[in-house]
Amino acid sequence: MVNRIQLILIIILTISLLIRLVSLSTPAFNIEEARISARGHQLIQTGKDELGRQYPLVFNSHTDYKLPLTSYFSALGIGLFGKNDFGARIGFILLGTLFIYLTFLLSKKLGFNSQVSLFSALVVSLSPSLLFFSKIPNEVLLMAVFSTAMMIWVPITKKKFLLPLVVLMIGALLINKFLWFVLPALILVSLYSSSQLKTRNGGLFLIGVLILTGAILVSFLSIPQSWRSLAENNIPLLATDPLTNGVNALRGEGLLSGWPNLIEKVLFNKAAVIPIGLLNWVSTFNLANFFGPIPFWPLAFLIPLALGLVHLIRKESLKLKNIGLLTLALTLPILFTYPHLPSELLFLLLPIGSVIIAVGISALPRKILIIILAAGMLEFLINHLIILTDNRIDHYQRPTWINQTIADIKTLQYPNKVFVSENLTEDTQPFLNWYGDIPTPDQQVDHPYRYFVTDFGQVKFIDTRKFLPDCNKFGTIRSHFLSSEDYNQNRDRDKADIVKTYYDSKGEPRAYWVHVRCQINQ
Amino acid sequence: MGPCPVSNKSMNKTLLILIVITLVGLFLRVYKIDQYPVHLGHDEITQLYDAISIAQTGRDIYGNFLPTIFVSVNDFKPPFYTYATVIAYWIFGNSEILIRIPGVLFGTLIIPAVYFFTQQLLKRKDIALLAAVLTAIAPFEIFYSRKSFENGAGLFLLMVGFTFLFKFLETKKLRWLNSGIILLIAAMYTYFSHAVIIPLLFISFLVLFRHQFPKMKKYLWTVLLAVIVVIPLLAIIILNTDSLNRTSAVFVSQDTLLGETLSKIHSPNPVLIFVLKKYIFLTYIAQRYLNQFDPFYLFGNGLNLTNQVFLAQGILIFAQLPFLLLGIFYLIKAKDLLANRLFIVSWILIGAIPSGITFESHSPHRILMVFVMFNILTAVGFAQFYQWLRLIKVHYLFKLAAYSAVAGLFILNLLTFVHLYTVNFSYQRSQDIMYPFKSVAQFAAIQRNNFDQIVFDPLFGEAAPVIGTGAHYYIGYYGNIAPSEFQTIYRFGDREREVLLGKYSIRKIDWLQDLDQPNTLFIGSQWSIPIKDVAAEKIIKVIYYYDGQPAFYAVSTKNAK
Repeated sequence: MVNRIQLILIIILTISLLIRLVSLSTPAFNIEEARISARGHQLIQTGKDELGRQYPLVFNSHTDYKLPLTSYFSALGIGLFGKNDFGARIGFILLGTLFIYLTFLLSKKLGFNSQVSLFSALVVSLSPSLLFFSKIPNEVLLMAVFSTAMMIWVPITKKKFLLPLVVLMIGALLINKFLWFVLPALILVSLYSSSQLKTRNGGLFLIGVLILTGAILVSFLSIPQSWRSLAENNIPLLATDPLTNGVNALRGEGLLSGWPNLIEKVLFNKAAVIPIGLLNWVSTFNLANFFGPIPFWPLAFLIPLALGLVHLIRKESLKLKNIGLLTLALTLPILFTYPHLPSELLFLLLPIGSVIIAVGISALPRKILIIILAAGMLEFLINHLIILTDNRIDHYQRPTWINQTIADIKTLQYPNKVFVSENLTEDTQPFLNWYGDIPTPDQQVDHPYRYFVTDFGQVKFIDTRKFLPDCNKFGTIRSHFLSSEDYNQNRDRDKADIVKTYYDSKGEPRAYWVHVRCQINQ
Repeated sequence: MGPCPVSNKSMNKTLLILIVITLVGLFLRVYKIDQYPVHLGHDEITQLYDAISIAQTGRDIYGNFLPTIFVSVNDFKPPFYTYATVIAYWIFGNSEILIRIPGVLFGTLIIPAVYFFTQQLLKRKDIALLAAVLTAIAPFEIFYSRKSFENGAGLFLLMVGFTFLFKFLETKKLRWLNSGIILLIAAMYTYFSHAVIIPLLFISFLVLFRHQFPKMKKYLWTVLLAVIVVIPLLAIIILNTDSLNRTSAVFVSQDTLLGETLSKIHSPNPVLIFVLKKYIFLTYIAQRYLNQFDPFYLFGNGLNLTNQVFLAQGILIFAQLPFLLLGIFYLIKAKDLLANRLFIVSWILIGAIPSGITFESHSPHRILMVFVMFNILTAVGFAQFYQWLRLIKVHYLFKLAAYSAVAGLFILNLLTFVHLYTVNFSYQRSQDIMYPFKSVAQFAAIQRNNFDQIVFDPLFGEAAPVIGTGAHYYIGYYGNIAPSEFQTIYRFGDREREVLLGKYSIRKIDWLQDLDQPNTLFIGSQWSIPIKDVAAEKIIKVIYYYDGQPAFYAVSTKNAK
């Protein structure tokens, strides 16, 4: 029999799912999302990734090595529902809905009553960020789902849950490198909070986690440039060149001004990474991070967030301690990420933050509660409108017009070559793969770390910032696809006739298909 | 957190300690005041020259009689600091450091003011003393006290004003209420944002402490007094278009990023555009407001003393951070003085508004009152730490080690600040305070009789070109042009951004066009003059940045002998 709480929860989940299914093709994919989708399609079709590798465990992008789970998860959706927006997004839509339920469970696990837990689910369901990440293929949502699940199910209460938990943990370790740091800490904290750290099973479990994480880390380190990948993307604070330069500059100026060398060495040295790392970590909790352009929660929830914290400090010190420890574990890698605050790690705090807001909401007088919830829902709808209407979207990062452009490139690529501006988008390759089914040629390198392909056989990416290429050099050139920036800067513009202009949803020209008049060939 | 009983002997001891703390604070504010900062910034030189002009002629350098808003460099400065400098001029006579005297004075007086305010607010002498110590050594207090900043005076009056209001609640004597209100209104005159903030804060005070106000009929006189004192201010703000210009010039709507974001909003439906624009505007302001509490800004790099990504100086001392958090935690946990604790919250929330709604992402000078409260909260944290350490049963050596570690960390942090402020700030950021415009102006003055015209282009910069601010003030003050003469010779010229002062022309140098100007001295940076194409004998002087790199070249077009 379904009780009132369960009924409301089911209503929240159903509405959330339906909202996510509205206007399925927005937001438009950025390069990473197109890459994940195209890769998923290729994996399900051929068992190979875009570089021709059979079921690899590490993928590549133009920014970093990527762990495999997100791509394989994407392959699942595309395998079931085909190569289309629905297939690429449905898995993440379902995960986004599941996440709401997980937040409800987490609240229960933290010891809050059903009312607070229901409010937690409601609060997280009104998260514009969650809505956004639920509609696109991405690893951020997967990270959050897995880490929340770990918070709920560790420590295990029954032996039959051990195997699913181990599978869950292995899955988590194959989503994103940050989780290699987060998960052991999360499990340590969970075991400590439940007083199981000193038990035999607890100890063994922790050792198992450490061994597993260590094994994955060691395997990763056997890949070329893996250390560079970690240093640049996960622990940039320890890649100390800027720090060394800064120390030398400050010390040098001090010595020139007559300060003793010893004092210079005491004041400015590499130990500065400690306060910098700590400050970076504390800066995680700058509320501006959570109420940015696509906010974690509606602004109206700022008041219950503050109230919830006050309530926890004043009356629920044990729960506060548990929440604090979990928060510490989830954000631990930020100690090493200065000058960045990785958004994927911030997003892991969404369920805990939602629980705190729910605590605040529960403490509100009824009338104010209704006003704040109504304001929150209104804000959520406005944010939904912003996402649906492509407002606030950077048309370079997330091109809404690229689909049509790629379709034309695909039509034109035979028998003649097609030339495309290098800067048509940040990296057009994934769009060619996803929208045009134009495969990336074999790169002859197993692990190219960051790669950027410019030659697709019939389609070539070239620099056309100032001049269109000489016809003699390339033979019979017919079609060029120029970015609006290249078109506007090009001194050879009179050599080209515009065949078609591609506009973004705001009506601004973003790309041009031009025919180049080649005197020799005429 | 109950009040401590205070004996006379203890009171004298406390006052003695407070005097010592204040003297230490004074020392930190006046020591080598003529050297650090290494140069008068444009805010300083403009107010100094205008103050001298007022003192000598009753008009600012543009000829406005006793202005209530100073045009200055089109930033429409509030009048308080300039008129305070006029008084200093009458007492001490003309000198460069004159402009820094009111800043140092109010920056020092704030130390005892914080003590008495905290004593009234939290009813704890020990916390009040600790707050005074932190105020004396706080980097932002020292930084702004030494750079002639008008908000210091406002802050002092604000603290004393509210101290009097608390005293009124304690004694129920109307004179405290009247004096407090007068001081608060005086504080509103010192800085534009105070005119908004102080009424809001006063309202929150009235609401929070409404039950402690005695019922009296004499409030009518207080209200009447307040209205009389505030009317001129309202007249200045509402009737003077310059002050409205100032307000709109610094409002967040001037932010280019916000403008760009809003311009991207599109929809065939005008109602939707309206709703989205309003919402995005609101969220933008909210985010900026929340960003004022970014810990990296507060403890890492807020004072902007260096160009380093990693090593910089925060508004507060890094070692304060755990104690600040402890203080906040304790005040949330505490059970007494609810209204007082809520007043602290409203002080912080209201105090951060000006910085949150202006066009700069961070304006520390607009939010000083919040930083002062952070020092007070840190003092609460210290007191709690001390109490905790006193009660804990561990070996005394452990306690000694804990105290030593805290003291050591503070000393290290303060020494780092002193280094960054006295050494690295000069090397890396002195360009921001128009270094070396003083040398340029002094050199131009020496050459005044040798040329028909002296052209100065204030476009300069080591890394990238920026147009220096207030060049005509530097030329006027360091060129020993009497304000009365300045008022008559100052006019705009026909060339790009040209200001004429007799023989001086401050404008853009267009070298190809200017090359043939006879008997002229051009002073410009590498961004204005193609120095490689200029014959060495034509360069009669090179003026350097603080780090020894060439900043300006003085090129003569006289025929070489």
